[in-house]
Amino acid sequence: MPTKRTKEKSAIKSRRTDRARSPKRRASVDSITLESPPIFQSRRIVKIKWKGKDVKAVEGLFAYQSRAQERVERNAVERALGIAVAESTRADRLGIGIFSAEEGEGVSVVRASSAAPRIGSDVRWVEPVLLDHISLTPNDTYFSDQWGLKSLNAERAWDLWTGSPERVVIAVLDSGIPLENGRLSHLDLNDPNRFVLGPDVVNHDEDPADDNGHGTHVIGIAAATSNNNRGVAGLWPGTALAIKIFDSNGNGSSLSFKDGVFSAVDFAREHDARLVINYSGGGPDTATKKSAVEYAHSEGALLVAAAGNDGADSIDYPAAYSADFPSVIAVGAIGSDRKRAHFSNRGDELTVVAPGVDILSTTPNYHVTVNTEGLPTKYAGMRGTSMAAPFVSALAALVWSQWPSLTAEEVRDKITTSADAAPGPRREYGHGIINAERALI
Amino acid sequence: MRTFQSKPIRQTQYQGRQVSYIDDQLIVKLKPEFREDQQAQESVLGALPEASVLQSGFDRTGMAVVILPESFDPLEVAKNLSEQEYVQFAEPNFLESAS
Repeated sequence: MPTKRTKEKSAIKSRRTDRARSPKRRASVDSITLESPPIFQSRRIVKIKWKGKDVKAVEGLFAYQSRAQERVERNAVERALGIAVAESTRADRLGIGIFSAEEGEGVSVVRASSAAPRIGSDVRWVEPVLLDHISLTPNDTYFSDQWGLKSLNAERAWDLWTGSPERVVIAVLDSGIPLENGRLSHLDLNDPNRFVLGPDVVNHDEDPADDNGHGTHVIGIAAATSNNNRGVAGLWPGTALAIKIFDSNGNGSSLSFKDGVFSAVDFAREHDARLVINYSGGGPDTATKKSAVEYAHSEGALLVAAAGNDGADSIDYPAAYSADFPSVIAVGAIGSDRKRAHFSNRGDELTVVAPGVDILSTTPNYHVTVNTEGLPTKYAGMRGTSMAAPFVSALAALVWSQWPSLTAEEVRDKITTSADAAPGPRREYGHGIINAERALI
Repeated sequence: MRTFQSKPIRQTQYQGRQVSYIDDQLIVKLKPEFREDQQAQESVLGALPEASVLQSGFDRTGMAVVILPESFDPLEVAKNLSEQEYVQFAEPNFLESAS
């Protein structure tokens, strides 16, 4: 459980007229419609190096400047690039026009930029069509209070990210997600194309409604809907699968963890997706949990687990299995001063640290256990290594979707090698503080 | 009395820390080479206290969950069962908590 209430936010008034579509009921049987990859004018956006910088370009679309003619001869372009040109536009008053490659033609930037002289003296230059963008600061009401996202350079990371959200799923093994009458009921967690309902393995039914509040906070940190003029922004814009393994008191068991892992693996298999499992819980070293982690490892999944909140000189399990499995990340917590939170467990198994104090995120829009501890409904601040783990899970999903061919171990390596230098001992900070921008370069 | 899933829980020192486990649940896992072996499964189940009930059969990793009769401590039963040649491990269902 989060160790203490740290911040309250007045609730945003919910509109009764807002209608969430009926969420998918069974993760294991439903096919889900996932978001499209980034596109511009029906073409894919690709990340390229251009004049020494990482930029986004529209695949197969090129600009040229003509010296004299209104339109560069299509044949000249085709000869120079060795591809079929689908169409070209008339040059404008500056002599600048656009041509596009036939679908499936892989025209490299290098080839395009070096082709101008070969096209003929009528062409000054050819270059890929580069994307400009409005530097995006999400318009979510409380975004300015989300210090954790700023701390890990989330805005720059979003600018750099060109991954496809349908390739990765974050399975959040926790206390569930807000549901009323079977429908996703929190306005920041109600997109049925992104928030998928897994089973409730602790109560043995198909209803993962959050009756504790912890799971809602965790899933919001990882994946709350961003830029929707309300609430908070999540780091990961793709699919999140809610599997309920903690009861209303925030308790689970080795067995519910194992069953949750099985459900997550089944979902990822069925949807041919890379799997990040977020586990913001912990307990003793048990053979059952270790077997489940071994199974997840054998299935290629990445497990991100909280180090624990006892301020102890040992890491909770399964996080501490990071020493046995390279596909496990043990996460500790830091405060906004970028120093280790006093409650964050220490140990050689610690992999990285992430923001975990005064973390503003979602809470259920109805009364649950955490509200009895003074936390408001809808949005609240909490602290704990539980809150740090979903930042890392979301970053892992961004990285994996950017480079889908990576293994779970390689995703972990990306996160550890891009982390900001640890401001203290390895046992307290692992490889350092996660840096989302650097992880995506 | 503290409960989990409406079941009483026990507390003990385990591997140097205070832990809780469900009063009547036992998890047993077969060694990989015996996972598909019917005889091994029957032998393991036959070694359980009388009136034990199989809650869920052997899964994809060779794990099964057993409900023990009242008055049996899962920790003690697990110790005995772990000595079986077919068994990779046996242990109570330990509690976890959100962090």
